[in-house]
Amino acid sequence: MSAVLKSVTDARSTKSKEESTDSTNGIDKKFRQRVLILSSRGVTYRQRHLLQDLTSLLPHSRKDSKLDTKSKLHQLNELADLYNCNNILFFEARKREDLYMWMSKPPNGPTVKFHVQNLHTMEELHFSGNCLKGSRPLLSFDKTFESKPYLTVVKELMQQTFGVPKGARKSKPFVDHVMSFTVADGKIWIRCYQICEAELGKKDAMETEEDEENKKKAAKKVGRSETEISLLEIGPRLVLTPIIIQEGSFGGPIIYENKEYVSPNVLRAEYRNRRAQKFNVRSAQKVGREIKKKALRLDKHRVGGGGGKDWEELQAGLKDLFQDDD
Amino acid sequence: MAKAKLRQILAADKGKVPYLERQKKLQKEARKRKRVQDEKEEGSSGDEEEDEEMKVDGEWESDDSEDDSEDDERVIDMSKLEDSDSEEEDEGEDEDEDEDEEEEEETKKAKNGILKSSKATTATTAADEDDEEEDEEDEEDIPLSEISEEDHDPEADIIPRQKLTIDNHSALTASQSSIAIPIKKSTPFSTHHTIVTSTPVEIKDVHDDLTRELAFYAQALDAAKQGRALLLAEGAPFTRPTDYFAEMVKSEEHMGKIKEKIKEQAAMKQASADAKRQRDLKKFGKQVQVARLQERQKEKREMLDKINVLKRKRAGADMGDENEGDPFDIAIEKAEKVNGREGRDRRGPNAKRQKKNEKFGFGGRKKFSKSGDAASSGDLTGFNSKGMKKNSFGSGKKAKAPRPGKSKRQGRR
Repeated sequence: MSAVLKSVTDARSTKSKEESTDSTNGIDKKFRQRVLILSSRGVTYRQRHLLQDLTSLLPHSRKDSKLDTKSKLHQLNELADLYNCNNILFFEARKREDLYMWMSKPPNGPTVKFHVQNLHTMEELHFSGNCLKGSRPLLSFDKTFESKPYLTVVKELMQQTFGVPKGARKSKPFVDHVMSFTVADGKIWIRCYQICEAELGKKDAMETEEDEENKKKAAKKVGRSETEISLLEIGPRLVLTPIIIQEGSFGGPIIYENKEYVSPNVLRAEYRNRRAQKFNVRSAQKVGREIKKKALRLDKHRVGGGGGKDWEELQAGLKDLFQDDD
Repeated sequence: MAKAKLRQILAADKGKVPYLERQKKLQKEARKRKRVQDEKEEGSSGDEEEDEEMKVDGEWESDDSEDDSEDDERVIDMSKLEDSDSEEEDEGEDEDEDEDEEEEEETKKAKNGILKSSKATTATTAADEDDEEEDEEDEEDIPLSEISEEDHDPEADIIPRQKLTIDNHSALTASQSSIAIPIKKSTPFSTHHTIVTSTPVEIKDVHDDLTRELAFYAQALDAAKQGRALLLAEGAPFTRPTDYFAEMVKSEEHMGKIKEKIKEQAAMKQASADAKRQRDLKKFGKQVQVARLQERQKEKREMLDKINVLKRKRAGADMGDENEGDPFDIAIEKAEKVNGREGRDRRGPNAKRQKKNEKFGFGGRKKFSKSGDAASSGDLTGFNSKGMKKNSFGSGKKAKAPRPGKSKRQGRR
C-alpha cells in the first residue's frame, strides 16, 4: 500500500516540480484556499450536523466555535485573519428554524447571504455513497451560473470555498467524488456524489468476435475509458436562495438584492393572518350586529326622550366599525 | 382635487397592509427629498417634473399589470411621445425593467451634472436607485391597490411580491474579477477541478423530485466523465488503488447502519411481495377449492344416477321375468306408487314407537298382565313329567349324573 502511495506521490511531486519550473510559484499561492467554518449560537442539531458534514468534506477548512453575536458580523474578518483563512462560511441560525449561510472572502471580497432550505444531512439521508476523507472533489457548475453577474460572483465564491486546493494539508491524491451546483427556480441546489468506476466485465468483452472488434475500435478511439462510471449519492443535500450580495466582507454597500426572495417570517405571518381571517370576519360581524340591535332599541327611546348615553355608544361603535371597514 | 382624494382613500386602504406602511413612509421621505431637489435644480419647470412622473407611472404599470396592459401601453406610448421632446430620446424605448432603471439613472446623473468619484459610485448609485424606486412607487396607485385586494382574498395564493431591487452589474463584475482565480487554458485541470456544463441545465418541474434529481445526476455524471478524462490525460492520479485504505467521510459504524437500513428495506420489500403473493394464492386457492368441491358433488350425483338407473333396470328385468305378458303389472305399480303412504303404514310404527306404545298404554290394559288367568293355568307347555320324578320333593333317584373323573374330563377336552 505504502509503495503505491509513494509511487503516486513521487509522480505527483515530480510533476509539481516540473510545473513549478515551468511557471512561477505565484499561481499556486493564488489557488491556496482556507475556509473558516462556524455557526452562530442557537443552531439545531441538524444544522450542526450539516456543519460537521461540510467540514468532513472540506479538508482545507478550519472549524471554529460558535460565534456569540449575530449583529456584529464584521468580527468574523478578524477571526479569519487570526486563523489565516481567506474564505468564511458562516451559518446564522434564527428562531431555531431558519438558517442563513454567509459566504465571504474576508479581507475585502464580496459577501453573499443565502437562505438555506431543504436541509438534509448525511446522517439522516442513508445514502450508500462514501468517499475518502480529504479527497478533492470535482466541481460541476451549471452553465446558468455564467448568465448573470450575480451568479458569476456566487460561482466564484463557491468554487473557492468548496474546491479543495491542490496539495492542501490533509487532502488525498485521488478523486472520488463530485459536487454539483445547479441553478433551478432561482435557487442553488447542492449535491454530492461518489464516483464509482466499474471495469467492463470479461463476459461483456468476450461476447462475440464482432463485438470484440467493435470494442477494440472503440477503445482505440476513446483510449483508456473502458471503465463505466456511475454515481452514488453521498449527501448532504441543501438548497440555497441568494438574498443579498455585499461588496465588502460582512459590510459595505449592497450590490445585489434578490427580488424573488420572500423572508420566511413574512410567509409565516401571512399564513397566520390567513388563518386568523375567519375569526376577524366573525368578530366584525358580531360588532356590527350589536350596533344594529342598539340602533333599533334607540329608535324606541328616541320617540320619548332621545339622545342620552346609548346614543353616544352607538356613535362610538359606528366610528369603530367604519374604521375597521376602511 | 379629485385625484388627491382618491389617493387619500387608497392610502387609507393601503394602511391596512402592514408591509405597505413602511413603503408609505419611504414614499413620504422620497417626496420630500424630491421637492427639495426640484427647487434646487429648476424652480420654474414643475410641470415637466410632473410629466416625468406620469411617464414613470405608466412604465410601472406596463411592467406590473400584465393582463390588461394592452390599452394602457398604448396610452403610455402616447404620453411618452408627448414628453419625448423634453426628455432624452433613449427613454422612449420600452425595455426591461432593469435596463430602463439604469438608463434613467444615467440620465438623471447627467441632469444633475454631479461628478462622482469612482470609489463612491456604488453607494451613490444605490441611493439614487432607491430614490427612483420610491418615486415610482409614489405614483403607482392602481397596482398597489390591486395587490392589497389580492392580499385580502383568503383564497389567493401567496404571490412572491415583486420588490424593486438592487442589481448593480458593474459592481458585481468588478468584485467577481477582484477575487477570481486566474484560470487560463494553459492552467492544468488538476489545480482547479472545475467543470461547467456546456448547456444550462433545464428542469421542467422543479417540484417533481424524480426529474429534478435525475437532472442533477446527469450533470454530475457528465462532469465526472469529463473530469476523469482530463485528469487521466494530464497524468494525474484519479482512481483509488484497491489496497489504499484511509479514513472515509462516513465511518464504518455509519456505513453499517446504512447497510442495515438497506437490508431492512429489502427485507420489507420482499416480505410485502411475499404477502401479496400469498394473498393472491389464497384468493386463487379458494376458487380452486370451490371448483373441486363442485366437481366432486357432480361426480357423486352422476354415480347415484347411474346406480338408480341400474337399479331400475334390474327391477324392470325381474318384473319382466315373473309376470311376462301380464297387462296389468303397470297398473299395479302405479297403484303402489299412489298408495306410498299406505305401503309404509303396513309395516307399522317404528320400534321406538312400538316400545313406547307398549309402555304408555297403547296396547290395551296392563294392570293384571302378570297375574295368571284361565289361559295361563291351562297352558301346560312348560310341564315335564320327568322333572316331577326327579327332585321335586327331594326323593327319588339321583337324576343328575355324577361328575366324571379327572382323566375323563381331561380327555374330553
